[in-house]
Amino acid sequence: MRNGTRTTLAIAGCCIVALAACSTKDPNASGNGSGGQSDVKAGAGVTDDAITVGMLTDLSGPFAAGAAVQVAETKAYYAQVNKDGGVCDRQVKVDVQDHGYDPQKAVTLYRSMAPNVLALQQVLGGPTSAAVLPLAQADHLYLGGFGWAGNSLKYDNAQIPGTTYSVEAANAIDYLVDELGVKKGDKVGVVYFTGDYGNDSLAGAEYAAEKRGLKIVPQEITPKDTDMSAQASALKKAGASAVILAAAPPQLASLAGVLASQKVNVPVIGHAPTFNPALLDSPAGPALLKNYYAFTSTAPYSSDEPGVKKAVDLYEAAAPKGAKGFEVPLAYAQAELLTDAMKGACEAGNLTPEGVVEAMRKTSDLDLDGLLTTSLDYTDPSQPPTRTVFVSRADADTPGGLKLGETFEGPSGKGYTFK
Amino acid sequence: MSDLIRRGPMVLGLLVALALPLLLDDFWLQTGLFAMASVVGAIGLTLLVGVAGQLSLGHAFFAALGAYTYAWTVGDPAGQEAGLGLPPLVALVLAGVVSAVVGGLFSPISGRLRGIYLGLATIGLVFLARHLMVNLEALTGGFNGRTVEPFSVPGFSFSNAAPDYLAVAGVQFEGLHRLWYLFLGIAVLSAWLGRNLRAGRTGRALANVRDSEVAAAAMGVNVARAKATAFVISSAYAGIAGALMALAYGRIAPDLFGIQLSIDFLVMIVLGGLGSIAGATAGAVFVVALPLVLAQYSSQLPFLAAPGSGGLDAATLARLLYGAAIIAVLLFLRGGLAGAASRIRHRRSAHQRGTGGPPLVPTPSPDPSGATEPPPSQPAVSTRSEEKS
Repeated sequence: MRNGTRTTLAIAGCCIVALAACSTKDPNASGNGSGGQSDVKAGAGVTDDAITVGMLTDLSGPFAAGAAVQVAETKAYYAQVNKDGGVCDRQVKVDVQDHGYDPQKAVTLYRSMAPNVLALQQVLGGPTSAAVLPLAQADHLYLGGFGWAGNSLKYDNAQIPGTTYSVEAANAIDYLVDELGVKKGDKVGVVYFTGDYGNDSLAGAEYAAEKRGLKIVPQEITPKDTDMSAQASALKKAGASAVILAAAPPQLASLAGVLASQKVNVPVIGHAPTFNPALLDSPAGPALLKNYYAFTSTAPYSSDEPGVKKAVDLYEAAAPKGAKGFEVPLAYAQAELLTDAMKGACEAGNLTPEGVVEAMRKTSDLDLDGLLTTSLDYTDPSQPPTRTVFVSRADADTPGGLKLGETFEGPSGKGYTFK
Repeated sequence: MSDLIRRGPMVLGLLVALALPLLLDDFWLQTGLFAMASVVGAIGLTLLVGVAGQLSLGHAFFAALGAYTYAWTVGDPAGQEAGLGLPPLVALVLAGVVSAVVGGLFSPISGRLRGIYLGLATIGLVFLARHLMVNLEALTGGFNGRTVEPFSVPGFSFSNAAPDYLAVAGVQFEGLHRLWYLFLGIAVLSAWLGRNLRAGRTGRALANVRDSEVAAAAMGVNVARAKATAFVISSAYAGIAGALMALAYGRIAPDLFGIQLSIDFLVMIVLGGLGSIAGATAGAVFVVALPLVLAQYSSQLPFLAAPGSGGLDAATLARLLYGAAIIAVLLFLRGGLAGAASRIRHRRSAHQRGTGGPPLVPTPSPDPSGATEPPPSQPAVSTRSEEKS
């Protein structure tokens, strides 16, 4: 009994101490935050002589190979920037962390990174970026490099490097009708990964098909399905006159190979992550050279536009033996986008995470020298900054395996509405 | 007095856990939230596998059920995905109840199967969950998942808002700090309930069924009902754990609740010692925190390669340590961490008696309260070869 009283008293005492320590008044509420050295207000990740940006990427999971290329290119880019005097008179440091495609790791790494970075240069991967995006939005932290899925448009802190998969697919349907002789009433197969990438592509293709009087034959797959025989047979049976593939290189190799062996000679269209130049040396190579078209937001490795040239020169100096692919111009473009936003924040005198997002949303006419198709307008968060895409063909003699054909914007790509 | 000595470490641990949010940064708080959510799930699984001897690989299914039930119940009815807009407290209770009910519906199957066959049947649940989560888009948001409303009670929200600013002893208490106390409260409550359950009549009946169904039936235990009870309780724990995970993430997607989660839960309870509540707690903290901490501090460890450079990186090291820990426990630590701890205690008290001093502590081995963890007897699902150690 006495023991019980003592315990109760002890607990009550603890509660009183805890309550006495409580406060709901913010002592900094009227203050002006941390005082910078000069007129520029400095936020998280900014000191008097350095800016830290974060990269949450996948260096040990399924996308390790491409992610390593992007890390190398991004680091080379900022080394170059630092050599030229840095951003806002500060050196830019890149903090790279590996989430291994695990959302739990991505969320905890984000928590440790967020208070110490000005912006997130990259959060790679569908489920990982889906987990981090809402957290970053709540913290008003800039987030780039998460792919091109249309559902990212609802976050005003996310900067998409180009247009969405849905607009790419809608443009692909326009291109099939206008340039490749697909006629009204024809069928187009869409083989897609279930998830933000594939479903977005399918939505764009379905919209455009309705506008142009085509029929879509959807075939849902998962990243684990690498044998496309069943899908190829179904498409042959349905009489598809073209195929859009929103998947990865193993699926492209299988699908192109099986279609060729079944004597189905139709255009195969993919997005940036669909293609890998190593495929051209595989048994599917001849079929790809004949029929593969890439519809991408960023320029292919071989483009001779000045922006892409700069990106490629930088990469080949930094990683002479590195893999050549779409990641190089993409990483360079993403770094350019963030650097532009940071410079804007600096000019506005507000070098804080919020300031970077604000500056990014004021960008209305940014030209990246051919890395992306047109000049970019980020003022409306609900719309992609452009709707024009690059159309490339597979080519064995070109570095990176894709030869740039033209830029293209069709009526469906222009008219596609986001839900 | 003996009571105080026995409970001392536990009370001390609790006080430390209460004080930690004053010291830790966001990374450790987030890690702690994931760990505490897993503690609840692991306690549920150790009751099922360790005490009742039913192997289940379907824990991820019930966790997913709890997580989505919570998200759906608190969800905004006008939002993108369906929701009821009910108070979060109701949702948390409902997460446990719905999982328990579904566990009860599954019990006719679980009651007929044993050992590895039950394990296989429960794996099926995980694949079923995956299919439902991806395809019931109106409820689950499909592959991309849905956001989870923060927990709140009237007048106080466990998020960064309402009250917008709250400080204790000069440390600003944001969403993570506030959630820490919610999670700690639920974890302690589930440990206490689990311990009482195991030590009580139900737990003894379950252990009896595990050791011999015939003997249990002869003693008047209703075997079918005991098995169903174990499954229902364990499912309720998993449902609450899933709701806590949903709160810790802030957004849930099908990828979080794969077969890997089920296996992680099993690893937690095997490492900790089957049937032990304290062991499940320790195992859960180890399994959850190890990869996160290694990933976070990999750059400070000199022998680790930078991620992606092809050498031994943090993610690989975490997997190796896992494997090594499981093998070491199976080979050398009968009864896992809990068994080892209890043996050390025994040895120390025996040593004290041996030196001639008066026994300060009553012989703890036949302790009926179950407060000190007795070495858990090996249930049917484990390998018999450990007995010789």
